[in-house]
Amino acid sequence: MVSKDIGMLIGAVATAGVDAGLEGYANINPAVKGQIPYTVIHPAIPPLNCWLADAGVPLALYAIGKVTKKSFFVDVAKGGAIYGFSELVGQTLYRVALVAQGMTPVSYTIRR
Amino acid sequence: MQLNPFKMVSPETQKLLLGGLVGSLAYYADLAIADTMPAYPAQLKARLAPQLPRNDELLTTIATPAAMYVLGKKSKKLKEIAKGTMLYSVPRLIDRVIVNAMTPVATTASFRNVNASMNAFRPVAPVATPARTVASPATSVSAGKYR
Repeated sequence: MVSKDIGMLIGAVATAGVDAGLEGYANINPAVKGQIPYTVIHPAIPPLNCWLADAGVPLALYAIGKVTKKSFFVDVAKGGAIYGFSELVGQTLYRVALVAQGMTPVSYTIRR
Repeated sequence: MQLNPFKMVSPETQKLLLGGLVGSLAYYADLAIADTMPAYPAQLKARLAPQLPRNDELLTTIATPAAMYVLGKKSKKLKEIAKGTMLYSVPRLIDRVIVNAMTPVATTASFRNVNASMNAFRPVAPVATPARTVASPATSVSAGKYR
């Protein structure tokens, strides 16, 4: 693996880490469910915390890379974007499938 | 003005993105089947340890990039797609382990429930009374050189 690939992997893991941190925090403190950033607009759409982690983190990393003019951060942002985009598309399709079957995802994120 | 997101990025990034989508669709297709199909095997819904993801989640996050890696050895195009699948599946596995580790009560409860439901289908062997191997002191007759 070259440094570009390592940068992308770091970005993807960082995005997943923020996603896991937000979801885990809400599982420890159930009182925050329904509050910002754990709001659900529609059961078929991922909640706001997923959008923040999966789209917000790569965008922030990309902005840092552009401001500091370091290509490493751009590669990190690209890795985060690949993870985040795939996650949001997959989760949306999953939720749409559940809603189409007459089921509602139980928790604010995905039932586990 | 280009509005197609796939055409806004380089061909290499397109392949990585496609690989990520392959990993994501495999993962969520399995979850959707597990949630909607009543006859989904209980073994796949069980966990090896409470802090680990479910067995089906482990399978989809490990087997998909592994299969793509094997396919990627045959062609260069598939190699990039396999790299994209790894970029999704490895962080996804880390994500699930972190979330499960942060929610010990819920995870342990579901772990127990799934294992209890699995035990309900296991045949239980009848408990046999062990054969008496040592004579009671009242009836035993001491004899021999070990007396």
